[in-house]
Amino acid sequence: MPRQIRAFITIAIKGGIRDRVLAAIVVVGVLLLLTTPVVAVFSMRQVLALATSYSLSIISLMGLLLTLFVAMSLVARDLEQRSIYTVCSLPISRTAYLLGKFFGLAVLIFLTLAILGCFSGAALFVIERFYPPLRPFSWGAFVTGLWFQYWVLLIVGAITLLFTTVATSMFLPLALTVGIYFASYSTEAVRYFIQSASGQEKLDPLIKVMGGALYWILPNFAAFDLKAQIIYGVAMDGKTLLLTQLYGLGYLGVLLTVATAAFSRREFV
Amino acid sequence: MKRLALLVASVMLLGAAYQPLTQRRDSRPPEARLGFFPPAPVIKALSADQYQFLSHVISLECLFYFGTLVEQRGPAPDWNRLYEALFTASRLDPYNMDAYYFAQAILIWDARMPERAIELLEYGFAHRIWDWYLPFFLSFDYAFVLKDYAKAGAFMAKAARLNPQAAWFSTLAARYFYEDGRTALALAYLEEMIAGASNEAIRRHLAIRALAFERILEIEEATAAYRERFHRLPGALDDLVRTGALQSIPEDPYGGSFYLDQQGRVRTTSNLAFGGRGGGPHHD
Repeated sequence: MPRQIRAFITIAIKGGIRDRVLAAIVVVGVLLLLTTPVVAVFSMRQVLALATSYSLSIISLMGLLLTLFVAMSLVARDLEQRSIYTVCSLPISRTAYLLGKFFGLAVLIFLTLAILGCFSGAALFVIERFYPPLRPFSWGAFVTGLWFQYWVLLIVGAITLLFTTVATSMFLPLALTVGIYFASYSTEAVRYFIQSASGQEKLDPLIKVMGGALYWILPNFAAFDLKAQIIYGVAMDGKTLLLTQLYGLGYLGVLLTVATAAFSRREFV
Repeated sequence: MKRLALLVASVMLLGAAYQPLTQRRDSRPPEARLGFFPPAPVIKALSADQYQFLSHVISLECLFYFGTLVEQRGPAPDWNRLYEALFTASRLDPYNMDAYYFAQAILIWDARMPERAIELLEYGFAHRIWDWYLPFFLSFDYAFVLKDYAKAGAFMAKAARLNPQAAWFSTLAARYFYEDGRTALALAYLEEMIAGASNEAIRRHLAIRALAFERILEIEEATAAYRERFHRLPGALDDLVRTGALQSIPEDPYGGSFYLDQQGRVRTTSNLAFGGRGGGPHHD
């Protein structure tokens, strides 16, 4: 990895750690995870399943908040503080700058998920001892699920970064990313509906085309969602996981390429 | 000084408004307390990857709503709304066992919705293919409520395959092909439900029903003994006590009185529900 990118990764990580938002999100996440046993005992027949579902929801939510806040401020802060002009005047490529910032974000998200995952894992380990489930809890599925959750957040971070490279306000990238995030969990279901007999009969041709196009354009986050596999021990398919990983890698590659291209052409006045 | 006065006024306003607000909210009708849940596809579209947890939240809401009413022995729950909420929970997360367990615990007898409960449970079993509880519940529902002993036997055989440790499942599967001995079956089923009930409100609810069935079984056995001895049915429960077949007439835990109908079957005025309002497909 080029030295310039490494330098920006370090800057992004240091900035993120200094950022109070990051610390606050991790602290709130850990506190919420500590309440897992209290929430889980309300379950009638599946204490561990409820605990796992609750933990994963917190990790997902906290991970999303962290990604949005940090990704939004990565470039925007440099623009606001005008330090971007200094960077641009130096013999440093803008691509290295943006990729360094993104990989710094990737490290921060990874650390956050690791911390939240450890606390969650500890809570689930204790609960499993007291309330053994019908089927043994799969720690392999838990780690795999968190890994794919990490990839969802990487893609969300890259989308945010892409929008911040072209937008002039902070609100637009945030609104667009949140909208895409929610829509991306439904594109697969929409496609299934379009393909169904009912969808074929009822839907307007234009809506069918738009729904189909959204499936191919937006990331399919439903493929990365392994909660049923973690919570209930539903079998995982290795080939599907591999294809999902490759799809994520490809999608991230496209996003970062477009983002760096857009950022390289941006004029700072 | 102004700031302090403003703070004091605000706190006073808060205190004065919050207590009556709490009272008003507590006095809402039961149906308003459970709230309204949009259809599962709408929730799913708006909740990104949080739908599984929301499914659990909905089934817990149902439990709290039902638990409060049972504790207070208040008005009957809105069964339709409970069913709809459980349906939504099952469509959001088809693996959510709490939704199925709760449906089994309340929809069969109390809500008189056995077909809907069975539909939910069959949907659950299509997903939770490893879980012996669901075919076990279904076998009971088919045998005891719908009197479809062929289906009951088939589901019990599935439960026996999934839980080979419970040897009596296989025996029960065979017995389901016959209509007799259903009180004993109901009791065995309730004991299994109670053994796995971690929620206190549900456990108590089931324990009362099991106690009622124990007493019904006691009367049934006494009636059978009387019949064997005198070759006719007793006219009333007093006949059983007078002849020593029964030490005393057991009390119905639901507050009703047991009696024998013209066919000699044990009935109760409570209809196996507090206030005699529920009952469901009762012991006939």
